[in-house]
Amino acid sequence: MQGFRREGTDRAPTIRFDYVNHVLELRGESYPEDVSAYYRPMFESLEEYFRTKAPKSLRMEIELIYFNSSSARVLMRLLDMLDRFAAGGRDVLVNWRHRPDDELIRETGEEFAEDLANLRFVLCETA
Amino acid sequence: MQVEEVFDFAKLLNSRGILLCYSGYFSEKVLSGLGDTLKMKMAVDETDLTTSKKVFSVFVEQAQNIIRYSADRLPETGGTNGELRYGLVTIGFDNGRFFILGANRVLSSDVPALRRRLEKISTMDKDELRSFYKEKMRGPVEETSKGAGLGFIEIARRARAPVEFGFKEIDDGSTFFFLRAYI
Repeated sequence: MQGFRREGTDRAPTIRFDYVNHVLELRGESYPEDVSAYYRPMFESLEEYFRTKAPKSLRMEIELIYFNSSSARVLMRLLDMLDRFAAGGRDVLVNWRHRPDDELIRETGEEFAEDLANLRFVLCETA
Repeated sequence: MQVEEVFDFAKLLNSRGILLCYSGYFSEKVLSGLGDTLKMKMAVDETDLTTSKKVFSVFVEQAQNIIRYSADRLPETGGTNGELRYGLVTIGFDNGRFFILGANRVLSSDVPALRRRLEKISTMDKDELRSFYKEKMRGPVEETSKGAGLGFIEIARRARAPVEFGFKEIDDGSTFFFLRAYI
């Protein structure tokens, strides 16, 4: 498996997981009609990646403009999954990207970070 | 409707500072269209980023509540790609504040639980809402909830004052429900 890709829409993010270079990207807006259906293939792919490739280190880039409350739950699940993976001795870096004036996205990132004990979570201002 | 009647209706909406008002059957496409219009209007007005994101966020949660929970619905058929559910959303600007109002019919039997949830949320301060949100983000999905059950907490967190809500029983088994948040 080389990776997982899903092109976004105006209501769903673009997902680009590169399993060769171990860089996972999630960018855009997230308030799809059916949140579970949109993200299910991504979770399935990620589980297989962890199981079969077992990377020593990986980097996740999250740059979301807006996400609704159902998507927040999905993000928490994703971050919990990465955190558990990091607990097994893997180096996991999450870059949480937000515009400098975007207080809401920054605050939400801080809230997510509070509950993640094993991965490195970095808030990054975009240009 | 005669022109005076139409004019009075338009004038009423205008006098209440209504930027956008939709009453009717909701679909996801209606949500997208209204949402895009709202974004454009706030961009033209140069509304600051945080305010416009809060308004948009509350609008999405209100509209999705109607799409998921309104008791007034048309059954799914081949052509509709999902159920159509009836509701009302208005967004306005009044006395320096935005407000987002959502209203729809709910089953009267669901009212006690809905009222309890909203009363609990409306007495919480920002820190309590933050903790409650985090707890619900990981907790089990509530039984009657198709979404994450987080929508009301999200609305309350973004609002600058406690959310307003009310119920009016209409007939056998159905109750009119409204929720308004000020940003």
